[in-house]
Amino acid sequence: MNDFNILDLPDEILLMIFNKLNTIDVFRSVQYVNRRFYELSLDGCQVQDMQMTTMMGVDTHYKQISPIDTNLPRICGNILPKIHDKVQKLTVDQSSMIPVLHAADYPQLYSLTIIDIEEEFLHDCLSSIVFLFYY
Amino acid sequence: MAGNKIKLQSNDGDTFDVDVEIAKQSATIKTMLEDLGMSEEDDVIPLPNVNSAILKKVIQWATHHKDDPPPPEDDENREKNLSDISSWDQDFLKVDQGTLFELILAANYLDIKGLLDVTCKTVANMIKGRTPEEIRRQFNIKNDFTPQEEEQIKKENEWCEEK
Repeated sequence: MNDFNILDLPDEILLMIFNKLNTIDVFRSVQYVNRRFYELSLDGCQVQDMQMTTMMGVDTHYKQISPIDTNLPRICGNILPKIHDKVQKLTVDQSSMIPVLHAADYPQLYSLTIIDIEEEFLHDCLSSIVFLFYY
Repeated sequence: MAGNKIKLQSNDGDTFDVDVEIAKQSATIKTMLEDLGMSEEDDVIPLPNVNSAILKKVIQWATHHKDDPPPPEDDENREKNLSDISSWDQDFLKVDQGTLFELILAANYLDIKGLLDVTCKTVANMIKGRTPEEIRRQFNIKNDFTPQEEEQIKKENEWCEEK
């Protein structure tokens, strides 16, 4: 037994851990734990690859759906406008796609992954969003 | 045939005989052996950042995983899947938090990708789906926001409830 604390880990390792979480988990909760977590959650490396999906993967510990509905508007309204220019990769699903893509523009984005989406819905979405490609 | 062995020394002075092939899962040790030509059986590799309790665990992990295929080089398309921890690893990581964090630091220092990945995933699983207060309690973290900042956070959250 020893008294090593999570705060004894260097930033690079905390970021590695945050990167394993769904981005929504980070913005909904991890961000508000303390000041250091808050700073780190807005760090460039953390937001480069954003996984904005509403369903959390089923795992052995938590068989549940992330209560994203109450958090998505806050994330889209308050957080994405602060960090949108750092995002390089984005993963969205049927419920997050429209709010996330409408929240800001993403000049650095080079990869957009869309998962769990019905074909018809996707069709409607794609016709309502303007994609500008930068070369 | 018996594989070559090397000696690894922890920062509290214990020495461990380890198969070279097992030790080479640590990119740090692999580089030392290859670049510095440390191949003689009598050579001792000092590991000033790792104590013997942790080194013992690391060797145990590396021994179990010695026949694993090398992890993919790029992280590009890794899935953020927290559930793919083998049951052996889950049992192996049933340790107190302090030990878990020391294992992470050792895996990082020794550059053992697989061990670093699985230990970070384990911590991520302890965070996932929890409220800030639950995370603070879980890891014994002090809330160091000022009352003004707390107010700001509350406002941000109210904003979303109105929506």
